Amino acid sequence: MSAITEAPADLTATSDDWFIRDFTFPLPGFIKRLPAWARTSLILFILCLASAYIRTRVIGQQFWEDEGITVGISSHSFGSIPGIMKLDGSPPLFYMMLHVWMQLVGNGQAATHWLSGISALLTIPISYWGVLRIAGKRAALMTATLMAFSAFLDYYAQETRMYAFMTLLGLIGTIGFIRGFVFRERRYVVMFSLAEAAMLYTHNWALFYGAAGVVALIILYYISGPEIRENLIKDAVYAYLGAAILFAPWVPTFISQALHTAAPWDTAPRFGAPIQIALNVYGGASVAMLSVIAAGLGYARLFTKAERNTTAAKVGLMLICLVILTLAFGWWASQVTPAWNPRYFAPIIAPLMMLTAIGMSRVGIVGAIAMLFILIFLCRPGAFETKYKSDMQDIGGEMAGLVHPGDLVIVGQPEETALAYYYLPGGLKWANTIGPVADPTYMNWTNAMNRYLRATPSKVLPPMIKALKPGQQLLYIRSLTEGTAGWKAQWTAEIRLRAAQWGAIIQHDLSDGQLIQERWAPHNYRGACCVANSAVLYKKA
Amino acid sequence: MSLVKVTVFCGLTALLISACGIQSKPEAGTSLAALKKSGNWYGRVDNAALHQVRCLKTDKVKFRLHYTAKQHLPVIQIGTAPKGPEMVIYPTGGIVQGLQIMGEEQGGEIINQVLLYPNQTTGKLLKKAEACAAAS
Repeated sequence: MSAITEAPADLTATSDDWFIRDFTFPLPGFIKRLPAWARTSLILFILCLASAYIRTRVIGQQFWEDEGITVGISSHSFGSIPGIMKLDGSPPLFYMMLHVWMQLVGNGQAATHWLSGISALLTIPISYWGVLRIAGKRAALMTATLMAFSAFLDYYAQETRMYAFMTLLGLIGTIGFIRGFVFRERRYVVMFSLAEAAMLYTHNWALFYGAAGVVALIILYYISGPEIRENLIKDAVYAYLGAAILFAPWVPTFISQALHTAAPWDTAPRFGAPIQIALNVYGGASVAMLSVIAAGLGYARLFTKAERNTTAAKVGLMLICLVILTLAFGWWASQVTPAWNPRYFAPIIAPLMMLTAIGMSRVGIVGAIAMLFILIFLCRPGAFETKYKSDMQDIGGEMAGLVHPGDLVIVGQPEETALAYYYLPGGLKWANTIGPVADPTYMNWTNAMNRYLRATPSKVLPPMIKALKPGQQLLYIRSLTEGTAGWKAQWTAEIRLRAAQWGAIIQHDLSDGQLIQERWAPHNYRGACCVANSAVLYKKA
Repeated sequence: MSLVKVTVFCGLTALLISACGIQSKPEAGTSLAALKKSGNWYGRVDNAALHQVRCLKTDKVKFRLHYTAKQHLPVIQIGTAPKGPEMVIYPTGGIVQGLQIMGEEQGGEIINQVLLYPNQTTGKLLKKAEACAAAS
């Protein structure tokens, strides 16, 4: 098998022989005189700079609950993180990386957000490098541009979660997949295998991405000639076997998580996925429409008999398969056990952007105009990030000086405990509406729904209040159950009810004179994208 | 496949993915022409409890509607007091949030602009009350 080092002619084909005029970007003379490598480096540098500017507008913004849990778990010793993940439900790689990162730069908001920020920035040069060999320079630059201004990455580059890193792995995996299986460069099969294993250790949607890859490979086998079929099955088996062997140590934990932890806060998706993709992945309906029309035109000729069997057609088909089938598997699985959220789309960001850019690069002036408008829509600092994720930082700020070591903090929504712990001082006792909490740095999701249903408020809370000594304080932090959309799942519906029931008991003790209300927070509630809280400080009479 | 077909396909796919434009629709209301003053007046009370009452009636849940003395807020007592759930309907959700933030109403569930007190009710009746509190 011969490795292909340059993109084949049919992949870089623009519209010279078509009715759409080709387009060359009018560069100033002094840039034209630069060597090609310097020109490209300059463009990539400018893209990285612009992207870094956009993606650092709210880099120091407050955490929300998932980030509180992530930082809480990563604060534990490196070796104990996998054991804690057993109770959480996620794979451990990002948490272990964050642990090392925090050793170097600390656990502040901006410091931890930067780990995701770097992952997002890395997608720019890597996408250029990967797509250059797959579809030529124009497609590579377009992919790098889309990655630089991706609305999805704008958001998750400033969040201490694994989604920007997962997008980076999805990019590496997709490059490995296309070059390894379509271009038959076998060393890239290894790259795909390693990326898939890393994805499995990062987020569970890697399973859907992997499954999409299997189906895509079956399709590839059936539509290809001997030049691709040769050793394809063997390479595919080795790739998946390699990923499986690397993932094997985590399998017992994964099974335990699958059996005992879940996402009881989530609901099964319906048919709104296209809207979610348009909004969360493309950054809006306008960008989605432009991308689909321009890229669709670019792929138009590949539907003809003459071009159906070209490498370009196969690349396009494989990218479509990776995107659509990953979503389809995720959607189907979520009908059984809900695991559907736009942030989980991270593995499909890279294949979708590659698909869009390669398509647009094939339609000359049309692609250039589409890209220009997409840039106008996307290059808006602060457009896709939320300014206020949670008000827990404000609560912590107001309450930190009022609480004393030994005071009891009760959190109405159990998974908000780690977030409250992050923003409040040390030495406090912790409980949530399931019961006392020994370690508030993480959420124990093991059989959480059953444990929650068993924790009758009238049996759990009164002993805690009774145990308080006169003068000792109780801080009751409770979610603001704004709207109804986020409170429909069994777990969240129960939280809304339990928080009210616990509140009623506290209110009763307040009327009885057992408790005295002292302070409340926040005094300036600006809203929250995710979950907001109220906090009331009481003192035992 | 012809270019025309491909263009139509791309256009339709784009339309589907963009959800036919996801701009919010303008609120329904009387046109400017209809607002022209005649001998009649058009003021009409927008009953805050309308949807909740309609929902409870549809679900055949027994309730009693009354109003608070001071602010004349609609109060729906479901079943019998003090065990049954009770909802107080405020003009905006912001007021309800404010009450919770200031620690004045800790015993209620915030559901939009409704403060629903579960009291000692659980199970199906409470679920129905929650669903009707969210009715709009």
